[in-house]
Amino acid sequence: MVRRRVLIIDDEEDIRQVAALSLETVAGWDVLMASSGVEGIDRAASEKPDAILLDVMMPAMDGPTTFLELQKRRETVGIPVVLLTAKVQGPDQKRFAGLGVAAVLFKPFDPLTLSRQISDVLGWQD
Amino acid sequence: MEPSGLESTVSRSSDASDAAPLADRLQQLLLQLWMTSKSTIAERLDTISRAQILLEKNALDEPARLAAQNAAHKLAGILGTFGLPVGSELARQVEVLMEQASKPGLVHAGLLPPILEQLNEMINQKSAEIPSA
Repeated sequence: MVRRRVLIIDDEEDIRQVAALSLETVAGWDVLMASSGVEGIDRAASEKPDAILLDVMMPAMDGPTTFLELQKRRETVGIPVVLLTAKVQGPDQKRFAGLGVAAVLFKPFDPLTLSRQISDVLGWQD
Repeated sequence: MEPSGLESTVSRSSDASDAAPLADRLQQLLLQLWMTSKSTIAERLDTISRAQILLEKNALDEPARLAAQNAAHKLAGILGTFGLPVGSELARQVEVLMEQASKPGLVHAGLLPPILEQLNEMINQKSAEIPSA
């Protein structure tokens, strides 16, 4: 099994902790974390994770803005980004899908299957 | 991982044949995380309760309404991950009501107390699942 490295960018401590616990315990992946868009961009550029799990609603720099910044940078443009959101209304979903992210996953997620969901949407077959 | 250190108490596994024990271990770790998260969850409920009281008095200002809407949104996102999907659904109802409350007179203040009561009950029950040390 390939040991993946995933960066979680979410301003909510409890979400970061549950997602990290899930990916570490269930899939054995390495997890990096950032609590803001700015911190996340820096970490993504320096650590070059295999994927980024990015919250939509964050203060200061929200998920879509963070994604667009990641796309502007040579070091991060190739990293697949999965948006994580508790917004389930149709117009929001359409807007997120139109951004060009790899996928959109919804909160609340199931900690037992989160890594499988990420693998599925990113086409990771390990 | 940089976070809680909880994972160090339980060995990792990704073996499919080990799925049931894996689920049990994950559940144990989630219960431990719940204990550290429940004060934040309680604060979010308090934020909503304060807004509900202001709404009853017809005195809900915009900062309080937005804070309650945001708190409800965060609860909707987290409760289900801790095994409380109905809690997430109820929190989502609160989020919608708080959004609607931006227009005066649209939300009946009496709608919120029963939802908050259910949420409180669920959260207390969840905490009661933790075996005492």
